[in-house]
Amino acid sequence: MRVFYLIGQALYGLKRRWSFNLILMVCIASSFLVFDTFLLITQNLKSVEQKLKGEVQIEVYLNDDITTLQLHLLLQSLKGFPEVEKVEYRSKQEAWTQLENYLGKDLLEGLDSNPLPASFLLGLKREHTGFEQVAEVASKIKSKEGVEDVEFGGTWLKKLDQVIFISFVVDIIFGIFIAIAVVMIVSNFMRVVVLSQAESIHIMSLMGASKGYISFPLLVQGLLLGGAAAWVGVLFLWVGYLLFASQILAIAFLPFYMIPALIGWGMILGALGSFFSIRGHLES
Amino acid sequence: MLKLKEVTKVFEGNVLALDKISFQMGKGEFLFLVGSNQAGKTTLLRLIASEERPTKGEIVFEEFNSQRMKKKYVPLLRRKLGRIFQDFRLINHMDIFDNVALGLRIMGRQEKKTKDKVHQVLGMVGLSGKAKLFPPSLSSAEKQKVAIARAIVKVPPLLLADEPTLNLDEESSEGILKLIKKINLLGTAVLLATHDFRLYNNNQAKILKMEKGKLI
Repeated sequence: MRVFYLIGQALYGLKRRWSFNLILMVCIASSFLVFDTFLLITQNLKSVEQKLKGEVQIEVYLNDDITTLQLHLLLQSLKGFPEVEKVEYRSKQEAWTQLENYLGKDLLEGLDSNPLPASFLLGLKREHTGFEQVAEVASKIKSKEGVEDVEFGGTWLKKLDQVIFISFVVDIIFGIFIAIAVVMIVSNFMRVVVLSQAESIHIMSLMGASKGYISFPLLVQGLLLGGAAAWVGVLFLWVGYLLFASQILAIAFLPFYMIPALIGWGMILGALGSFFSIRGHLES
Repeated sequence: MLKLKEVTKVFEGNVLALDKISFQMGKGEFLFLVGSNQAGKTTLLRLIASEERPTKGEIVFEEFNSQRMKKKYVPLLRRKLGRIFQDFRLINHMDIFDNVALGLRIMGRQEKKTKDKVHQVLGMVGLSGKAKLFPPSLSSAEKQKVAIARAIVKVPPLLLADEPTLNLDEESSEGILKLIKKINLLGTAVLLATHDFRLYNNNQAKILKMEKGKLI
């Protein structure tokens, strides 16, 4: 019963200072909006990464004089790599036909013979498509008998890895920065609330109220304000996404599971901000 | 129930506020603590309520001992005390009902019982129809009645009243004193600090006189 009463007190406090709380919520929501925007960018970069990495292949060019036995042994060896998902053989003739289809017959008329080598195309498992892993597999294959050369999209794979890593680091930095900012904003606003209620808090303390009894409504207020601000931040982002981003770029909105997680994160930060301001006041 | 043994309080700057105060009170006793301003009456009440710790000496109130008591037990001690202050100390954004109910809610009493008890006590102090009003709309005497109702609603074993009639006219003062006596008759011990001789002159109650921090 006492918990319900104290929650009621928290809600009454929010209602009594509604304009102040509205300003506080908008301030926190703006911080969350910045964070949510970066999260949206990272999420979309990640889905691009997933798509591109699904297409990562290693092309193993074979010597023209490779024997059937060597070809068979090489095939078994390639299939034995744990990173390899599928192996596809492309003969000299198939490679020529592909080139013809790509460049047109006229352009290749002057050539007496087919200069293209036969090859194996290796599809890799998604979890082994990082630049370093692919480079390592390619290096091992290159030393095998009957192999002329090995190619994979090393340069772009490296760049993709770098972009994803940078966006991840930016997210972490922004996440920490926004978390500190939100805790400080809530803490300072709550300090004003606590100071405005200093007399009431003192009276309650004289009546025998514990720190918990005094703090609980203010913690609930921080929790609700933080959660509401996180929700409004997501709402702002969604409106922005509908009006601009989705019209210009083919990007997706944040996955649904992230929204309750963001609101929960906001609630935790809001409660933390309240906690620091109340603790400071009660200790003093 | 309450025992003070050579209680001394020295504030910063070596200011001696209380000097070896010793006395005791039994259950249901009524005691006037009288003396001029700065005699140390308020400091003594604050020490009993553990707002301050004695520099020397010992205060024992029921199971609480000032020398051994940890900080976390202070709220428990205060829940056993009724307090009346000269400046009322009401919470202005709470209505009269909530102000009076505060002590019971802090103690975690059931809301239904709290409601019944608060209405009963408001009737006792003559404020039945004013439960939904807020303190700023009341007269000084009414505010003090609310403060008394808040102090007695939890039926404390000891009521500490610090100049409860300070800002009131003579008629209101008499009314407040009558009310406090009524509470005392119901079994609550009262320690009433005042410098108003009219309050204690015509009373049978025991009187402790204080001057410059000493009992005389």
